[in-house]
Amino acid sequence: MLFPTTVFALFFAVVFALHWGLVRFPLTRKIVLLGASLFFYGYWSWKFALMLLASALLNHGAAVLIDRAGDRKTGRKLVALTVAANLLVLGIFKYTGFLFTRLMVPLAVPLCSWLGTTEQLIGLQERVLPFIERIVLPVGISFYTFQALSYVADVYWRKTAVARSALDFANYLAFFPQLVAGPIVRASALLPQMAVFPDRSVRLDTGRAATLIMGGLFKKMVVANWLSEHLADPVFAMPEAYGGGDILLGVYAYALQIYCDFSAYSDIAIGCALLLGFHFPINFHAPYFAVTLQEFWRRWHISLSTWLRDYLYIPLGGSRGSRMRTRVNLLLTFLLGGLWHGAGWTFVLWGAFHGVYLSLERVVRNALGLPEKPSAHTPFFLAVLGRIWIFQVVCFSWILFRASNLSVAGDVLRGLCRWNGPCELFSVTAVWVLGIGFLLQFLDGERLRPVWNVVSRWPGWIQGAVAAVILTMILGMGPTGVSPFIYFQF
Amino acid sequence: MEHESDIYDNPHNGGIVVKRACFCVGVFFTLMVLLNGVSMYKSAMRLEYGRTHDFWVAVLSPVERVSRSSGLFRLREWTEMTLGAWLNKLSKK
Repeated sequence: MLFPTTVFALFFAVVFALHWGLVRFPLTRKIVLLGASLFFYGYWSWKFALMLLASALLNHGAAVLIDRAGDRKTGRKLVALTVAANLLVLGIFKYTGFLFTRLMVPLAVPLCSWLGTTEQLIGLQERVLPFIERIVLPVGISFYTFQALSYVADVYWRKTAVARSALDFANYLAFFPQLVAGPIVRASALLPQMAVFPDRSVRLDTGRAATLIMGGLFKKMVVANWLSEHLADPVFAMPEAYGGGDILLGVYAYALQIYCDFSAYSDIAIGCALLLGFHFPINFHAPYFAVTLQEFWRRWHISLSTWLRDYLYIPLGGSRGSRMRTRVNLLLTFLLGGLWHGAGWTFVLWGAFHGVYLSLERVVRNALGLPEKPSAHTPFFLAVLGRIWIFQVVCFSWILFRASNLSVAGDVLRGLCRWNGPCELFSVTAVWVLGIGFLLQFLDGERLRPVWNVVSRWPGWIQGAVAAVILTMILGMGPTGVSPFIYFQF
Repeated sequence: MEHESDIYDNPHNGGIVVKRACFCVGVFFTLMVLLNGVSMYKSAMRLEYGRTHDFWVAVLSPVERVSRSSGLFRLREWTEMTLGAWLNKLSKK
């Protein structure tokens, strides 16, 4: 089920009414919310919903056993087993094809040719490939697997208490606003909210919720879809047909498209959860205003970068060891972060690029005597230069991220050096949409708090009417049809 | 990538009571349906023939009639013909 559709609007209206109408029946309310989340997910396939439910039950069972384990050694073994089981499921669905066709076969071809067993290799491929082609990646599996892993680890580290019941944990893992594309909400933040549902004494920040939902729909339906359809998709589909100017425009367009697309999903998710009385962390904080790449990762997909920091980088040793060890840890973290996004060499290279750049950034900043974190007192001119530079660095990395394979990435990079011929994609509308896409970053964080407060003070019917009129105009401005969010594929 | 504090929203911010919020959401959905009834019906008509198509057409046809007779569909129509047409002129060619 996609957010900007009639089906979701109807679904949300029913869930909203039931959620607040069943306040006197806490258990029924929890069961209804879980049923709604499973229905939302099962709208793609009921098998996905069953898998999610099984994941919730198994991870909760494991967490209970870890919590009750008498000694740390048993607990550690149980954690290792649970993590392995989760990663195995993720691996089967997400990485089987990549491991077989992109890693094993290319390595086996020269070996089999040398051994004279090429025919056997072809036979094996013919038997295995139809099986691999039948594997369908469940939407959002990477997101909920990471949530489950963090819960198990936190229970083991005693950072969070084990859920009161399997129902509470299932509601946490399957909660529909954040299920398919995040934010990756930690158990410590959402489980207590799932244990005791908000009652009618809470105050709902409708001003913030409406701004987030309307802003998110505008970002996705108008800006991201336009940039994708008119600039980014044509360039990445046929880079050899365009000159340097068009390709540069396409790359910038993709940078803003992915921001508007992904942050839109997070905003709508946060807004919907707020209307149900639940609070999520923010996931974006004006990422293209970052002065360093390190700062970019504090502002982009915050829930994933903090997850990677807490459950991968720090357990690997973080920056506690030697400088070389820190760099290796950074590289490993970003390599796995790249692989998390997708099973392909382009994602591995994208992760490696970020890992290497972050390491180099540390070295250069240390050599220049600059603080590791850019302070608020950075001279204005230097901060502007830093922002422009980091935007170019991130855009360069998006080429690897967006290209369907390394050959396309190579074509795009070569095209950037081909500055002959007219700029076919350039138009005044393109400049407007790119500019608006960039300025939409001002909606992130708490900048609009005064607006939310003003909206919340309006009478209820005015709030509802204004939101309906704005949404109608957004729908009228957007192209016909609904394209899925980019992060659904991860 | 370490040391920074996670950013969580503040659950203690102001807002409105649940009853008022429900009223606000109710007004939103009612007006939404009236403003977009005609477009929703047209979208349903474009669905592939089958049970889903028949269901949505049956559900949305009274909505379409109310939307058309109240004249509220004109806001969506006007936006599509002005801003929408200007923005999407390439794709609509």
